[in-house]
Formats: sequence, structure tokens, C-alpha cells
Amino acid sequence: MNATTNRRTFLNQATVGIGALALQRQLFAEGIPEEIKMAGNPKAKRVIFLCMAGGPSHLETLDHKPTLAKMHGQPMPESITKGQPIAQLQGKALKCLGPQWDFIKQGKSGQEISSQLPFIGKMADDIAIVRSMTTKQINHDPAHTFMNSGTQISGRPCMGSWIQYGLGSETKDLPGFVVLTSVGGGQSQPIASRQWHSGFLPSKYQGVHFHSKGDPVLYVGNPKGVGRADQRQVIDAVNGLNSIRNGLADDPEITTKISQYEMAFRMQASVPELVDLKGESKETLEMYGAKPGDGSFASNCLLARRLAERGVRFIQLYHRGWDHHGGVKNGVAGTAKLVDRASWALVQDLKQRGMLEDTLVIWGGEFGRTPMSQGGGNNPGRDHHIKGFSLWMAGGGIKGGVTHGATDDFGYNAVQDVVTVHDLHATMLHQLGIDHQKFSYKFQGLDMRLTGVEPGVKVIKNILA
Amino acid sequence: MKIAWIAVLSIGFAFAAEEKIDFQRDVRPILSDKCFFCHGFDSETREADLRLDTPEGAYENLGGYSAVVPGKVKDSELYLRITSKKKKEVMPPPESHKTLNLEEIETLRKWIEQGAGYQEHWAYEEIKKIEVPAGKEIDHFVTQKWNTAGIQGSKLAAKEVLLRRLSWDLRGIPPSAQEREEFLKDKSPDAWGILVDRFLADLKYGERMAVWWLDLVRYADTIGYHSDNEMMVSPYRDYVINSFNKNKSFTDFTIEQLAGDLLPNARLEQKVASGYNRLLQTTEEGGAQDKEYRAIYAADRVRNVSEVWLGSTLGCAQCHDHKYDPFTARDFYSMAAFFDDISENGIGKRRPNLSVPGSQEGNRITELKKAIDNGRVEKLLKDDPDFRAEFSAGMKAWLTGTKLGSSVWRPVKYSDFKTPVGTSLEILEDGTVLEGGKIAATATYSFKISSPGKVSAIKLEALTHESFSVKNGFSRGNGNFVLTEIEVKNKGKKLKILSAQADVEQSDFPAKAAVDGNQKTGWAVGANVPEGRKGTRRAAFVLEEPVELKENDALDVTLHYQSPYESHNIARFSLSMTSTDHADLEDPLGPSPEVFDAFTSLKRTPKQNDILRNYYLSIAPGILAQKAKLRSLEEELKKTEGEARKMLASEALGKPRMTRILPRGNWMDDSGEVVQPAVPEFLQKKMWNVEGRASRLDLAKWILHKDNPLTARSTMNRVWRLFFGRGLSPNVTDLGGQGEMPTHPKLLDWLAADFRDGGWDIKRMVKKIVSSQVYLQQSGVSSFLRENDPSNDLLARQGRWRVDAEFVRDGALKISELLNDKKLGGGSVKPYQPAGFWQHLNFPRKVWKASEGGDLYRRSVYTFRCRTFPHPSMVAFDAPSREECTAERSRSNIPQQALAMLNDPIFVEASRVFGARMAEREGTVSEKVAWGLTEALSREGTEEEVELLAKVYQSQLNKFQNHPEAAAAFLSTGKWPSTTNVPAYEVAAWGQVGRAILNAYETTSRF
Repeated sequence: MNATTNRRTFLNQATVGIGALALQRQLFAEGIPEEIKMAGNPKAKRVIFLCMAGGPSHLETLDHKPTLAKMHGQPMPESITKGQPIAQLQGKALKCLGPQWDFIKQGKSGQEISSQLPFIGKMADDIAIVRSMTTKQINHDPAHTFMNSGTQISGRPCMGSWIQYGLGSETKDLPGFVVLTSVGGGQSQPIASRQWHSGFLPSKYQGVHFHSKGDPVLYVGNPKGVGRADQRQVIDAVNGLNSIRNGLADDPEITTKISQYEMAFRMQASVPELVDLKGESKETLEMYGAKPGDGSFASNCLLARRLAERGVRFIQLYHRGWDHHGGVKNGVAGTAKLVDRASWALVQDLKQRGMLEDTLVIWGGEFGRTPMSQGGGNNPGRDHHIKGFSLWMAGGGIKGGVTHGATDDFGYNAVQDVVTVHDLHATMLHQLGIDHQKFSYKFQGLDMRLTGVEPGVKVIKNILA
Repeated sequence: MKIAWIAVLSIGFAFAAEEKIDFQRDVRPILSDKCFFCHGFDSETREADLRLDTPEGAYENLGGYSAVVPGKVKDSELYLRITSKKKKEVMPPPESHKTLNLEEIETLRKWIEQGAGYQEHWAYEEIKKIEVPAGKEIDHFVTQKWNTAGIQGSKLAAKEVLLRRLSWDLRGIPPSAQEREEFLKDKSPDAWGILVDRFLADLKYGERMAVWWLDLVRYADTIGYHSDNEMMVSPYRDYVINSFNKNKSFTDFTIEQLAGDLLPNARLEQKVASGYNRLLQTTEEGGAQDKEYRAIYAADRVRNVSEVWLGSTLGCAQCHDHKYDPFTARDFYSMAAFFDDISENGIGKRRPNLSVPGSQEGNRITELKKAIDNGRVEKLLKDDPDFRAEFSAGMKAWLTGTKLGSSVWRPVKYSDFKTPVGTSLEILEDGTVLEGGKIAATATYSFKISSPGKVSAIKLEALTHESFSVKNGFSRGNGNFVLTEIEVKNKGKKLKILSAQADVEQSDFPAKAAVDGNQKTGWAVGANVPEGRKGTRRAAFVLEEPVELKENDALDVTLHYQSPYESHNIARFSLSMTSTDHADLEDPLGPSPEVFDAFTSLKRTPKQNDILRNYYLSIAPGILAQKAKLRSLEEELKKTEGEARKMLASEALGKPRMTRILPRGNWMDDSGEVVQPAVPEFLQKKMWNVEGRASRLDLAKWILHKDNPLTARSTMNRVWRLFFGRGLSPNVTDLGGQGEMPTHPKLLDWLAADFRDGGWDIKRMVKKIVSSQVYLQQSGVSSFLRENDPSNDLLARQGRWRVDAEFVRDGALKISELLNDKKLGGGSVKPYQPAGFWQHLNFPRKVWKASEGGDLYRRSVYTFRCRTFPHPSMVAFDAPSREECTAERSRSNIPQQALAMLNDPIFVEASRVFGARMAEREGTVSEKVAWGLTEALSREGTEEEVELLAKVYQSQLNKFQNHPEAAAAFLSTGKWPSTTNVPAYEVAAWGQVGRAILNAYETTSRF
């Protein structure tokens, strides 16, 4: 490719709406485009986001609140709750609900982690806990949209698309942004495909949703009665017709089409190979607690490692089942059992393969839960809560054994080192080597950013190694 | 970018070296992109109190110096700052991450040197219509630019290319081989004009144009948020299709959508159109807050209405004044206020509020309503002499008869009395039953009753007896009774009672309380006896399902008297049965004592005559027959109306909600000022003059005002894009400050003015565009144009692109002849979709059930649009989710498209059916292949192509001959039956050839 063709390609693509960075991707197939690069070397090459959908209670997982235990059954001070957004507890009496499980000081760092997360507790020194997360959306659907795209308006790209757009893909056989949703886990809030949509970015940055039943990727299986050799023959014929046509039309779209049919054919082999866990040792399967083909969170964690190994840039796992409006005690315990071991296993597996250092793992939900009880009685729950919640991160240049930020004594408001969703995004981009302020895309005449247009967004420096 | 291209062009086309700087084209884009964020419209974020969006601001004396001094570059602070090398001085400041390149700096320098003139942003200026030679206007403007650049346009495209291009553009499907043959044969000078007219008259035109419009208005079949449940709006989609087909003027089209419900005597069609206001995303999520979602909905509507009609991003002013256009936050909320009158829930189910019968259903409904109206008894008695005569004769005969009436109630035989110990039940001579012996405080009596025949209702009569201590009472207690429950069983099975009615009911003790399954409630009549009742009280109990009693059958009846009131048992009673269906039971309780008195009276008063006439009306056979007829008509009407499609339409509240400006868009902040509906202030000019509260109708009229600079421009810009692949102003979403200057401003203005002045007639404009020479050019890109005008700013060639998602599928269905195009409109349909694709939807769980029969093969505009999980094949080809306005779909080229076209059952099915058509033809393999290529591509295949596909055929033939099971499996893809006599292995092999052809890029491309 000489300079002229690059320029030409650029201009051609610009006319069909692909932004300047698309060109950069061709010019700098390796490395980060200068325009968006931050100072220093990137720490992470990829992200695995373990999305604990439904909103895990920080008060029973990562945020230890002894004072709240003392306040159990007492009315929540009105000075705290007055005028604050609230979901299902609208118009109800607001009484404190003490933490339902004990916390244990874990590891050398002595980080406090719920007794219901014993495996995550074992790796306390590998993870940084953020106890001062906040978000702006109090209902599941908009809160996921906000967590993924930095805005609640539909039709904006989510972080996986942004990152692919910025850094390109490292795999020729698989999509660069993969989403897995686990089966099982109780209460199932809907998850919309907009959560992995590329919005106004080109569609090729869209997340590809892997399914645990049927074709793992939609339409990746051959038609009935058609073998791989037959499929190859048809694709050869398609590409043959396209090449003949291109001889006359000289159309870059046709050239791309030909390469996309090749990519599709490769995916038809690489996807089944990817999801086939036969090659994994018994020890590995046991470590994760995965049974091949069960579609569980554990199996998906193992798949996440395999995807990471194959160069997939952004891997997002959804585990639904954290929406404990009632029965938060047993609810947290039950859901924790489904995710605790595999979350630990993934981090340890990455570590033993030397991949943790350049893989950023994030574990958290779209919001937290109220310190106030919902439902009362013998089996109280907690409502949605956005003013303070927790998550943890590991790998990709994150310091282990650190707890960052704090909520007030009730676990209601994040009061120390408050972290917004935009801050989280900025931190993630920072670890990937991208300056979030420079990372924009023109849409509707505006320079759109994952981290929004408002000032004050900051990288969480305290947790960086 | 723009500057860079102009630089390229100026080399290629030898533009004059000393060019005049055009503020609109050259300067505003730089100021807008690099300066206005801090020095623009938004007063809140304005820095150093300097604004560069107005000349006053730019020239203002800032204390001995000015940002811009016209003609004096060295005295202009702006120039000194942008060229400064000092970090603290240079503009834009480094932290903004915006920089000016040398060309941009040079442009600004020249602009100041040449006088630093300002112009209003082009899109807000009035539309100027330049008169040019009639009939060739489009070509005039385009060739003018060619002449300046010293180039010529591309050659005329081949006839078959043009046919295919026009067919995609106007119908969204490729032409048939027969259409090709006819068109190639037609050598008349007006062949093109005839073809254009034919395609414009084809009903597929409306289906094609609707895809464009439905993207703009974000039409979908589901609510969008959280549970994403279905909402009924499909009649709106059909309204759009029909409007394009009928070529409804854009004014009516606009008014009806925004305010159809507000029009005087709104027709059904206009109410349907008003469904536009209900297309937004809504939620049913538990715990969502009404107030928050009201604010979300208001913003959704403002974004949409301004993007659809004005090509403006007024939505950006939700939190603060717009950065790049003169829209203020007040404008945003004033626009939102127009929609405050729409009746809807904040949170919760969207219940349809408009019934939309199809044309056949509609006719039948009109017929039925008329027949019901004309068949009313009162009307017949008044207007139909024969009917009246029959009634009078009947009544006369009845009055002279000896019997009051042939009661529909027949007596029963009692047996097997069961009572509390010491209490007796005795059958008296008149057939009534009398309670005797010791009377318990509460009691339950049961017994059998028999009377062969059909039983649809049972009547219970309470009578008095001389032995009762309370005179004219019904019980041995205080005279009143409380029947807490009556149960009727047939062969041990309890019969459900549909309704109960009594002649007298004590308040709080209605007859229906005796059949509610609750012993704490019951039927009572009060202790005091009103005059003239002859000592009876009656209640009729209608069975849900009539039963048939044979000779020896009996019903078990249980009467419960479990009230706290002592001895409130009916102490003398009688039961009877009827076979008359409850609906016909006009007189369930029999003639009242008044009727009885009147009938037997020797000298009747006028009042008594009335009483008798009224009673006879309820039993006259002719009347009953007529009423039965009416009932069946009414049932049919109800059923027909029930089958009619329902939808969400606009319905105005008497008292609109209130809108406040939400500071920084915060819905929890009530401190903002209350605003009234109004259009953006800077665009009000002389067009806005409304007294009192402005309505959606006023909004629509302002949108369509002849001086509104945006509506016609934006619409024509988008229509142009449909036929060239790119708007004259390339940003078809936004004509505002951050949009792009049109490549041909005069042409855009001419189109806009002509559209407006020519009756807002879409077909007329489309015809003008596709009849121009510019449209007829080849789409190939010469190396000269590729080098010098890569983005086709000069329109020196046609555009080429892969067709929209809907048309990719429609085209495959058309080529295979699977396309079901016999029906227009109707409820949304569900083609095949991978199982479990909806598994992550919930509340309730949803399963996509594919449609049946012909509905599997309808055009994709009818495919059910789920917002959170749109059909994956459609998404692969860039169909938007319809969550927000989409003025321009992206046109991606991704592996998912290959996977879908290769493996989605609908494309495999289309391929095998297409293959079967090739298989069934007479001729050699090569001839069949050649025929298939022409069918699919509207051109003759080349030798090379034919040879390539013939090889695929031979090889696949061998494979399927050796693997008949594979052939059978392949041919079983999809529901369409494989009916040919050709051997399966041949059909399957041809199916693989079909796949290769349908997957070829050319098949789905428009060029």
C-alpha cells in the first residue's frame, strides 16, 4: 500500500461515512493511533467485563458496613434520603436493613470481602475494590445502557465498540467484541441487544453475541445437507463471480466483500473450535466448575479466557440474577455460588498463563442496592441504588490489594473518592493506552466521547500499579 | 477535510489561484468546529465573554483591541492567537484537543483580509429559487458546476442498468426478466418516462418509500425499554405506505401525523396517522418513576420531530443552549410542550385506543350498524306498517284471551328433602313448599327438582303464608330472609351461574350475592312489604351453560341461610325452570302483579293500558324474533370489530400537562420556568403568530410555512439521497451549523422551492430527479474522478451501493418467486428467526413464533420490528433498531452479512426454490445457468460466469447423487414445498448454484 492508495482509500471511505480513525486502522494495523494515544505505555491489550446484571448488593458483597448493622430496623435518616431518586420503594417507609452476611479480612492486604465470596476473597491481593461507584440511572435497562455507553440515550456506541474502533482487532478469525450471557441464575432481567450495539460507529464494531444453544454465533452453521467442502465451493463461486464483476466495476466494496466471505468461512471453523472445550484439561474444567455446553457463567468464564487467547479485544459476560428486591440474604448467597469460583478461576488462569498483566478484568453490576429494607418480614430485600456501590478490577496494570473510595456509614452515598461511570471508562481507556479526552467521533455535528462532554472526568490513579 | 478536498480539486481542475473566500463554505465550518464550543451561542459556556458566531461579537471592542478587525489581519486578536506559539496564548487552547491546520489558518487569514464578512448559516436563510430553463433544472445546476471545473459527466448508463437501478430505487426489488425484455424492446423516445410512471404507480413504490420514512419516525412494533413488549401500531405503517402510493401531499402527510386527531371531524385515516406521536420508546419497568419517564418521553419527541421535519438537532439543547446552532434550552422545552396534550401513561402498558378495521371489515361494520339501526323494534313499530299491524293484531288476540301469558317457566317436581333435624318441608296443594316444625337459627335445605327438557335458568319465588307471625312476611323470623347461597348441581357437578336478578333487592343484599360463593353475603328483600306485590318475591338464576334433563334426571338444589340474622329462611317457596336462552329471557320474573291487575281489570286506566302494552312487547313472538335477529347482528358486529386491528393513536387531553424548563436536563429539579408550546425563537420570524395556547396543529402549519427554511430543504436533501446515495448536503441528519454545506446549494434551494411551490408533491419531485441526465449517468468511477473527486462532490457519476436490509431479502424472494406480494399492509409478520434469539427478553418471557404460509414470504417492511432484538439478518445488513430517528443508515460490509446470506434459512430456501426453477427449464446446463443469471441480474451472464457456475453444478450434482440424504435435507430447508418432478439431487445441485448467484455482490447492489 503506498501513500496515494492510502489517501484514496481514506477519501473513499470518508464519503460513505467511515471516520478518520477507520483509515488510521489501516495505516497503523499495530499500535495505537497517535491522535488518541496517551502518554506512556499501555498496560492492557484487552478487557473482560464480568457484568453482574441486576445490581448486586454492595452491602453483602464488597462494602462492609458495621454501623448499618447497628441501625438495623431503625428508620433511615430523612436527611440522607430526602429528594433522592428511588425505585420500587417510592412512597414506602424507609428502614435500615443491616448487612445480611459477615465480612472477612482477606489476604495480606486484609481487604474486607463477604463470606459469600470465598474464592474472590482468596485473591484479595490480586484485586482492587472500588467502593465509591455512582451511576445516574436507577432502572435496569437505562442503567445498563449508561454503564455500557456513558449515556442513557439509545443508539450510542457501547464501550466494546469504542475500544474496537480505537484499537482495532487482533484476530482475523473471530469478531473483536464478543458478548456471552449465562443461563441459570434465577431472576432474569431482560438484556437488550443495544448493550453491545455500535451505535453511530460503523457496524463492524458491533458486539457479536454468542449463544449457548444452537449456533454459537447466529448463522455460523452450514445449511442442512451442506458440508464444509460444499460450503467452500459455494463461497469460491461467490468470490469468483465477485472477482469477475470487480474486473469491470473496480469497486472497493467488492474487494471487501470477498474478504468478508473468507472471514465468514474462517469463522465457521474458528467459532466451533473456540466453543469446543474438549482440549481443556480436567483440572481446568474443575478449577472453573465448568461443564462443557451447559451455558453457565463458569463455562463462559472459560470461553472468555479462550477468546482472550485468540486476540478478542473486548469480552463481556452477563450473569443475570442479582436483582434481589426480596430475600437478599439467600439471593446473594445463591447467585454468589454461581459466579464466585469461576470469577476467581478466570483471574488465576489468566495469571498462570501470563495474560493477566495485559488483560483488564472488571467485575460489577449496573448499580448497587439500598441500605433500606424492601419488603420487610422474614425475607427482606433491597431496592435499586445509584448513589454508592462497589466493583472490583484486576489485571491490566491495576494494583492488587487496594480498596478505593468509601460510602457513608450507611452505605448510601459514596463520600470519599467518588467514581462515576465516566471515570471508570476513562480508567479503562487509560489502561488500554487511550486518552479518553482525545478519543472522539463526530456525530450530529458533535465530538462524541465515551466519557461524555462534561468536564471533570478522571482516571482512578489510586488503583493503578 | 472540506478544505483539503478543495485543495485537491483546485489542482485537478485548475481553479483560479486567488480564490474568493466564501464565509458559508469556507469559514463557518472552521469557526463552528473549532471556536463555537467556547465562543458561540451557549452563554453558559462562553469564555472571555467573546462570541464569534455574530459579526457584532467578533468586531466588538474588547478594550483597545478586537477579535476580528475586518481587512486588518495583524490587528485581529483572533489571528494573533491562532498563530501564537505560546501555550498560554494559542487558540484553540491545547486542552480542548482541537487544532487548526495551516490551510485553515490561511483561510481565516484571507477571510479577515477580504473584509471578514458574515452570513447567516445557509440552512436558516430563506430558500432562493433561481429561475432556470424549465424541464432541465437539475441538469442545469449540475452541468454549471462541471463547466466551472472543466469536466464532463459520465456517460449514459446501459438501458438494462438503468432499468435495474430504477426498479431498486422506486420499488426496492430488482426488475423481472420479462420487464427487462419489454423495456429493451421499447425504442420509443419516451420509453424512460413511461417506465418511471409505471414504477411510480406500482404499489411497491409505497412499500419502498415507507422503509425510508419509517426509519425517520422510528417505527417499531415494541415499546423499546426493559420488557420491550409489543405495542400495536401497524396501521400507522400502512398509512405511510398508502400515503406514498396515493401521493398524498407532504402537507397533509405532515399535518395528519402530528395532529390528525385534532382535525375537525377527523377521518379514521387521520386518526391512524396521529399514531406518529405514539411511536416513541416507553417503559413498563417496575420501579421506574413517572416523572423521570415523562421527561425522557418529552426529549424523545423533541429529538424526533426536529430531526424528521427540520433536519435539526434541537435535542442537543436539552441540558443547555445548543453549542453550534441558535437553539436554546427554552426552545427545547417549548417544543416539548406541544406534545403535553397527548394522553398516555408515564409507566405501564400501552393499551390500544383506536380500532382500525380493514376495508372489507369496515364495509361489513357499516352494513351491520345500519341493519341494527334499522331493525330496532321501536323504529319498526314507528316506520314499518306491516310490523306494527302484526304487533297490534297479536296484542288484541292476547288481551281477549283468557291466559295472561304462556309463561316460559315450567313447574318442577320436588323430592329428597334434607333439612335440619326437627324442621320439615311440605309440598302444598298449589305446588309450593312450606317450612314447618322447629326452625333453626341458621339452616341449609337441599332437595332434588326434576322437569325433563333443557334448563337454562331457574327461578325461585318466595311467598307468604297465613301461618307466618309477620303478616305478608316471607320467613318465620321477622319476615325478611337472607338467602346466603343457592347451589345447583347436575349429577354431582356444580353448575356455574352466570347472573342473578330479583324483582326486589334490599340495598347491600343483591340477588347476585346469593351466587358469589360467600356465605357472609346474600339476597334479602327487607321486612316491609311494598304495596301491590301479592306477597311474592322472585329471583331468577341464569346458568352459564344450559343443561338437558332426561325423564329421570334431577338437579340437586341447596339453599343456604347462614346469615347472623335468626330464622331468615324463605319459609314458603316455589321453583320453576325455563329452557329459553338467557339472552331471550326478556321477562325472567314473569308478569308483575301490576300486569296481572291490569290484565284482569274490567275497566283499564290509560296507565294500565301502557303497562299491558309494555308487557306484551316483552313476550310478543314477532318482537322476540326481531330481537333475536338484532342480537345476532350485534354479536357479529362485536366480533368484526374485535377482529379489526387496534392501535395506539393520539388522543388529546382536555387539560394538557405542564412543562417546565429542566435546568441541565435534570428531571428532579422543579425550579425551572413553566413554558408554553412554541417553535424555536430564532425561527419564528413572521411565521409564528398564534393566539392562546399553540397546538400540534399550529406546529405542523409552521413546519409547512412557505418561509420555513428547513422543512423543504431537509426533505429534498433526503429524497435526493435516495437516488444518488448521498445528500446534496452530505449530512442528511443535520442541516445546522455542524452539518455540511451543500455541494450544490442552488440546486438544493431550487428543489426545495419547487417542492414547496408545486404542492409538496413527492412523486412529482421524484420524477424530476430520476428523469434528469444526472441520474442516468454510469456509476463506474473513472481513475480521473477517483483521483480528483472521490466523494462525488461534482455529481459527475451516479452512486453505487448495497441495497437496504429489507431489499436484500425482498430481492432474493423476488428472484426465487417466493415473494408474496398479493397483499398490501396488515399486521406485522414473523419470518424465520433462530430459536432462542429472544431468550434474554423477559416480563413476560417471549418466544418468536414464525408466521405461517404466505406470511413467511411477505416484504420485509412488514417484518415484526422488535427494538431490543431486531431480526438478526436485518441487523447484519444495517437495519436500525428504530430507537431513534435514522436519516442515514450505515452501509457496512461485514462477515455477518456473508453468514446470513449463506446460512439463514430464508436465503437457503430462496436459493433452492430459485434452483428448482433453473432445474425445471428445458436446455443444457449452460443454458439453464445463463437463464438464472439473467433472472437474477437483469443482464446476460458472461461465458466465464456461466462456466464457473456450470462447474459448481456438476460437482454438487455428484455430491448429491452420492448422498441422497443430504439432498433431501438441503431441500427441506424452509416451509415452501418442493414439488418438482426433477430428481432431488439435481434440484439440490441447482439450489447450490442459486446460493452462489444470490450471494453475489451484484445481486444485492444498486449501481
